Amino acid sequence: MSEERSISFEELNAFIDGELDAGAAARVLAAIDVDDRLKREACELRALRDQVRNSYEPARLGVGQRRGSFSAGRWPMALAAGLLLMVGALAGWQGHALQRQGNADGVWQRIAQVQPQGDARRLVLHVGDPDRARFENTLDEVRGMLRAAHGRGQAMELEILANGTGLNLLRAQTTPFAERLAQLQAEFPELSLVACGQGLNRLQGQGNDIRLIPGVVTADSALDEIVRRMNQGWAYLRV
Amino acid sequence: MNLFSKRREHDQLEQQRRRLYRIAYSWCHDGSLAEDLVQETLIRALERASQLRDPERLPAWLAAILANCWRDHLRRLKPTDDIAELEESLFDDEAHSPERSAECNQLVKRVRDEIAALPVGQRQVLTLVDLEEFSYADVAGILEIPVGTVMSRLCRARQALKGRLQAARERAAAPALRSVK
Repeated sequence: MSEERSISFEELNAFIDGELDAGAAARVLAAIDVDDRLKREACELRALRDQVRNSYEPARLGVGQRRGSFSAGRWPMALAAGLLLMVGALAGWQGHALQRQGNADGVWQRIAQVQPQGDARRLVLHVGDPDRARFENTLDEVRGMLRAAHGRGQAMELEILANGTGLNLLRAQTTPFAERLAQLQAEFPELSLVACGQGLNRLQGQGNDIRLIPGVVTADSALDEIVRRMNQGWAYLRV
Repeated sequence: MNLFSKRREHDQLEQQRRRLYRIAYSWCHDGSLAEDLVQETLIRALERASQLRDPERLPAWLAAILANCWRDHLRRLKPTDDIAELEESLFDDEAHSPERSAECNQLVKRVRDEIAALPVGQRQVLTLVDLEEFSYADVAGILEIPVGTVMSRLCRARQALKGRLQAARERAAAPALRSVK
């Protein structure tokens, strides 16, 4: 047992992970062949890897079954459907942008192409953190944009969508902007406030008060809402 | 676009979502948090879709975004420059919650508990290699660390995990041996 290892532990790991080139792998194999301890270690490493893998099998994780109203399995359907519809709708008037696409692997490229084509007069402003100064600036911008649109006689729709810690800006117990948002909504009915239901569920599970200020509606998840709006041709901007 | 390609696109997205959820869960061991991390990952992916040049890189690209989301989450909990230095006590409660105990059988629970007890950096490397079968080079890219660090973290993680599971097995077997005597 005191003899020096001919193969390092790192090499052995790389071997079972298929990371060695043919020459190095052959050297490890030859060493394993004549060294029982090495053979045992290699077997143990493989068994360990299988144990790790088995412990996180999707069936064991209950993917899509963890939640009631906002299950993990719902939104990817919406995402996929949203992307497909979005691509389909755009193909009608922007077919040239999609000409190079032809296989299923191109879906992400197609998103990249259609995303900047959203209608800036219909805009989702996504708030994912509770930065008060930035949100205050956002509200100033919102008021400026909507007033300017009114002045030009243009129709404009804006949606402020909050998720994650950004939900604090729409929660009755935590927001310092309740009055300001109420004023904005009274002045501009075309401004909507939307909270991520998945995030609210999580907050509730942690024992937080998730009551929202008046006028806020809840979407299944922020991702659902973004995809839905993009699918309708809205532009998207994270603030 | 025909029905087959639509189906394939949906399957592709669903497959990626499940992969991301499994990775996220193996890092945080909290189902709700894992869902949030996956959602944030896919939102960021939508925002940055133009950055993905090679569709073959989609799994690694999404995993890298997930790693950033996870890093951001950890930094909100405890600001630090190095993810590997994060205190594991942050997650002790989650790792041993009754919910987790109930949902896992004994062996699975033991493995998950021991993985949850690994330092964050080691846990990330171990799960990316063992669960998702990313290459060392991919993991280095996803976590923005050198390949040598991937290898050393992986070795330390496996050695620690092996030792802990062995110790747990011996602890579990000890009463039975005494009763035989």
